[in-house]
Amino acid sequence: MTDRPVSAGGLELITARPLRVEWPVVRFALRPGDRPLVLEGEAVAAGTTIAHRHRASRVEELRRPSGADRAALTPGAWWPGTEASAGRLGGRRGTPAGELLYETGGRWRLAVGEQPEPLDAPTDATVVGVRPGSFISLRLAADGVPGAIAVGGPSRGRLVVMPDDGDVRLGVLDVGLAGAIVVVGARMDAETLTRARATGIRGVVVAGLSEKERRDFLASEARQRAGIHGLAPFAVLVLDGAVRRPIASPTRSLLAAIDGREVAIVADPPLLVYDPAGVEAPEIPPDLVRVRSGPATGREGRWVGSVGSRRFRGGVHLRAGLVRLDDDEEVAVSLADLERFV
Amino acid sequence: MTTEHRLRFTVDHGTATIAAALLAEVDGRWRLLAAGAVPAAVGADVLLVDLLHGVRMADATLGHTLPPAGRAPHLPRHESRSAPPPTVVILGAGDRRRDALAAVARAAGLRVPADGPTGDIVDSIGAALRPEVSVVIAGSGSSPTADERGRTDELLAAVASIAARRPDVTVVVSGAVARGAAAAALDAHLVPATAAGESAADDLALRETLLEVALAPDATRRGIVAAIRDLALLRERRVEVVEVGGDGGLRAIAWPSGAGAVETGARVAVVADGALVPPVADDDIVDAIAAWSTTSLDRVRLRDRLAELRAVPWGEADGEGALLRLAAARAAVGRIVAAAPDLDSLPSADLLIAAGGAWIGPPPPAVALALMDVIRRPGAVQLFLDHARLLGPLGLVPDAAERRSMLAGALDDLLLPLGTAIVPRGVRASRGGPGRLLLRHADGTTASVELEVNAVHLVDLPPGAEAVAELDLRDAADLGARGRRFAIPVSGGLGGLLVDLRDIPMRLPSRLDRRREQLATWQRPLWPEPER
Repeated sequence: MTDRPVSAGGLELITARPLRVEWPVVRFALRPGDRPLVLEGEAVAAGTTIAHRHRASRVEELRRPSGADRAALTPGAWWPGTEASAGRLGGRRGTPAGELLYETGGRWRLAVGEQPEPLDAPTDATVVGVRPGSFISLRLAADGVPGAIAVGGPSRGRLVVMPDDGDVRLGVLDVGLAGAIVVVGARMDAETLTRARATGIRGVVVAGLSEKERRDFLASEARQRAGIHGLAPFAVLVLDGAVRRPIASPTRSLLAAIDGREVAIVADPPLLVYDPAGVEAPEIPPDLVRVRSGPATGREGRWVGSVGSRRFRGGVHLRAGLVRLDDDEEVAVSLADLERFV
Repeated sequence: MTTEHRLRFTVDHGTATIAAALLAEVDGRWRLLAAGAVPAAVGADVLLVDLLHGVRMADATLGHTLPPAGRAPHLPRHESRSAPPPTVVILGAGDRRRDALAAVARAAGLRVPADGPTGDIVDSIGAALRPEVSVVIAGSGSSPTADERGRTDELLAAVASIAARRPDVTVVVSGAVARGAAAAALDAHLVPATAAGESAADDLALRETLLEVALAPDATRRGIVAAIRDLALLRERRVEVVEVGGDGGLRAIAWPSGAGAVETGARVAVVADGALVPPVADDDIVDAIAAWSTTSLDRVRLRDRLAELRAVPWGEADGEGALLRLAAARAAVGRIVAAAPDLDSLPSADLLIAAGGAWIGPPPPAVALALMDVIRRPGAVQLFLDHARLLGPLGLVPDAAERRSMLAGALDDLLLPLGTAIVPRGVRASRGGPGRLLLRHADGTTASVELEVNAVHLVDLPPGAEAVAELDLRDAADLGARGRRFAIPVSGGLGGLLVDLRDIPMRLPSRLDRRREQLATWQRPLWPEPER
């Protein structure tokens, strides 16, 4: 308990974190040589292939054509390619299809993709931007649960919420979860993530992912991508950050409400997206606060009131509020270490 | 009733936090009534209402003269903003030129991605098309070398292709490649007279051009530079600022110049990698922070803590979190200094100001020590902290008379005095110690300190106090000039007088545990028991 006078108000000085975002705009990166298959303004259904991305690309040279073809040549335009033809003087070499880059000395450089991989729309959506070689952006007809970072993706599957909120062990994720996006607990290691991918799981939602595990997992992904065979889509959505903490109770309630539904993970911005039709969003008590950082990271409680400036460890003075934690203990917490859900 | 036109809010919109202050003109002088900071997501208006409400509650007499707290969002305010540094793609006509351009860009507020394209032009086009890229720089020598001549046409064709596909990108072309008709056809900043890597003057000129590209008109760092120029004029002193924020850092020195010292000169470096924790913290960055840390964390845990600090820079500002923040701030200043070593060749400043969110929170004496740990130049310097983050917004006040009137109160009231640091170079150990310090206070009292090498001596000298520090050394040392006896006017602050007899540059044990112990020993007098 604090012996300082407590005053009402102060809650508005705490960072408000959106539990969900409606109709998010998401972006998918393209590289030169990737081929967009949609146009701006077009409506697409979930699962529609919106582009062919390539795992590798090469550069070809193209002699500047004459006549009508020449007018269409601009940087970024798609060159449809030409077939080889026979002729009296040895015929004409064909040219591959690809993305025009730039012209110099009467020749165009062309980015030609190799080993295509389809990029599918994660949900029903409207195309809001197409920039060849750069990105496609979609406005999703869906809601999204925001995360801190996402690795990989996009990836789709049915949502399975694991009951335990602790660290996930290897044996828990088996082939019975193939095709699912699984909500696990507080933290996960790279080995378990790699195992999850190997068993056909399409994605993982976790509260925290250590930087080491993230780097190890990315390195493992890069090694597999360098192989000949394409990989099934897989994504990891990290809800909070790098240190261990349980999933926030409002987020867990929302995830429980969409358990069993078809969802997707997208990376830019990091979101778990779902069709909101028929989903009852959980009621969030207005005085619910969560400790975002500091020694009590991850704990939740009810806002009691502001206690003004208070001395914390190391003689540091910070604006603080009194919070009644889940075990009924009342503690003063720096306002900067708190967050609330809206 | 205080009329509203005598009140001003300043608002510094940082990428991580918003800082605001309430100033009032009292008897012709601007005074700081209240200041605070909140995470950026909270919004400025909430903070302004809170500040005004706080002043009204704290002082009923003053409160009567102030408008109701709900009026706060409608009161006049001066604002500045920070934004993530523009990401740049560099196309050099050769590897050496590209590296030289990258070095200039790093000190000009542009982010040069570590995983950026190397020599391949097609890779460079791919990189330039990424949505996060907003600046493209191409360059050659002032008279292209043989290998550059062969690539010039292709380079310009690639730049033209990028400009056609990304009209939102700013293009800068430097060196001889900027002279031809092809370059003239580009919608680009052409700087044919400067070629990166050919001379220090060329690099500085190009840095100036790129700073104009990198900093928006309302950029906080632009305001800070303008503010220290004014302070240099007002105080007739050389003023240095070191700013560390969530999205980059700044080091600038300004001095009075011209006949009658009615103008100012300045040297500025804005460093994207000078952020408290850069977005991509490679092993070098993590190791540099570990090297300044007084707490024992293995690399895995340290990486996680830094990732959290990057995501929530305002969080865990006490205890171990505060120690980590100061270690990260020291490492950030190290990167800023390394990115623009030309500032070290200028004469030492008389006043050194710490600015930016990274310094807010830890006890002011600890901030003073952190500054002296990394800005190591011989001389005596007064230390200040821009604790209310005023310099950015005030520096952007368009009316010069009003701006200078507000800044005139800066050193007395608006900036927090940390104290004075005396840093001699080349003090040698000798029998009986290297010498002694006699501090003569304005009231005639004295305090004497026997000096020790490789130590930081802290002498009590409260804010507002003036004194003369007489340094009597056994052997000659460098304090701007070489000598054995020095009499230095000093002024007080929350850290008092720091006499820093550590090496320049500082030498620390290579073993991390001994290093931590040494750093903690120096820190202890200024920040006792930081973890409790």
